[in-house]
Amino acid sequence: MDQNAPQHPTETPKDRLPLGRAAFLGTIAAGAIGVGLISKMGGMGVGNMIASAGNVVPGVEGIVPTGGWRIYNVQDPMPTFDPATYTLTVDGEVENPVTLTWSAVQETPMVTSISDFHCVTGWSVEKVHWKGITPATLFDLVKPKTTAKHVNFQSLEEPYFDQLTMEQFKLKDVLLATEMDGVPLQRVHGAPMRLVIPQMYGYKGVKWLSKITFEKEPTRGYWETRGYDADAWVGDDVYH
Amino acid sequence: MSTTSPLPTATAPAYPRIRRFTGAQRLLHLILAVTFFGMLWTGLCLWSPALAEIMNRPLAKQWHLWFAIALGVAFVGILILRPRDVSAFAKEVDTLDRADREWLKGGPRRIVSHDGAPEQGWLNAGQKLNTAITIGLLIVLTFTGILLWLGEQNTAFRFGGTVDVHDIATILIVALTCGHLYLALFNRTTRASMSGMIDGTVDREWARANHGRWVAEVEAQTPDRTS
Repeated sequence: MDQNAPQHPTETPKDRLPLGRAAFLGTIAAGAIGVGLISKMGGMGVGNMIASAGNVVPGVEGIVPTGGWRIYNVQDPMPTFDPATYTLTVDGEVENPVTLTWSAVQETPMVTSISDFHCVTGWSVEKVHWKGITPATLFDLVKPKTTAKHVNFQSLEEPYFDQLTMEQFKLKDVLLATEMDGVPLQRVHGAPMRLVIPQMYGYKGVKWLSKITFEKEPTRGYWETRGYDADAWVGDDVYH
Repeated sequence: MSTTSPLPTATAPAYPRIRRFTGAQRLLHLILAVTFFGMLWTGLCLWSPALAEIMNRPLAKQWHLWFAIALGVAFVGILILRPRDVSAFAKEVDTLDRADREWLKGGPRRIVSHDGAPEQGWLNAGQKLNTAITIGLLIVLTFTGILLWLGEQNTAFRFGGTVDVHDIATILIVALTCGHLYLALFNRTTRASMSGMIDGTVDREWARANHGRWVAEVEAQTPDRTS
């Protein structure tokens, strides 16, 4: 080691105060207390605040996560919806398998609902207005057999898919959504159709939905084979 | 006989440079810089819709984690191999003396006015606090990052405040880094310090003007070889 390397810090006068240590420990303590307090408040939505600030600055829409949404995809580029070629296939353990064109999807009866969206990575978006097809309407159309116990949702974004049990698929407010907040689903949110299940974290809500298959046996979804919970319940403390 | 004196003169000192940082300290700083900007870029790809298609989530997440692991391994490795280099820095950052506190009073104004500062040691008060808070924020980011990772595996670890604190800590550390880069690259009073993190040495007269007490200590310890 170089003899002149400053191995000895500046000589310590008696009036030295451990302010560097205080700044270091104070920063860590603030972080730990912050996680506890903000969690107790149900999150303060820093992302939403940044997004709100971004909304008043021209030209930053799309750069900051407007509305609090962070956009996740597993392939680049994410799928692009073409109404002329898009089809939704529903098959498997059903009496009446169908392949719907985009026109046929639009003609299917739809309902609206308002629910909060929670991502497993920690952020949430409150009071999202959805419009889409209910599972009951889909059941009327394809008539699932009694052997159908699970439902696979395949994305146009290969190889992304996920699965729900039939009981989970029938939960209140579950939708095959085509509109979000009063406008057709945008590309980044899974146009033209995505699964919405507010009781579970967002990775169960398959975007760019292209195929629904009723199955006898369970299968683990894209993220679940990468360590995520198969049952992504948000919990009573989060889901209202 | 030669008429040229072999002895150093006042105008041309034999040792115009003074060693400021050891190789281990510079290596740790370099690894921190590379991994920090790697984590910042991959973190932005996870945050900004405009960048989502440049680097998809699995890839961005994977690189984000590897940069964090690389920084942790580098820190532990250097701590094991060169403990004195790390502990010297930690001891220096730990406390602020009277001169440090005087320095702090005029610190922000001095960045603009370029006025002289109270005589400082190896690190001035601003460098000490910047280091202490930056390392504190890195620990907060590590702690919240581990919680975010655990929360994905087991939702019992998913807390609403984790991502908010991770965001706030990121904003703060980016702000500190911007100030750090401005002072290292552009501010005319301080930019001479940059070479300390490149070849380990700085101009002796600059060091005397900005870290006079430290220069005096080094020269007192090694009067026969001062570079």
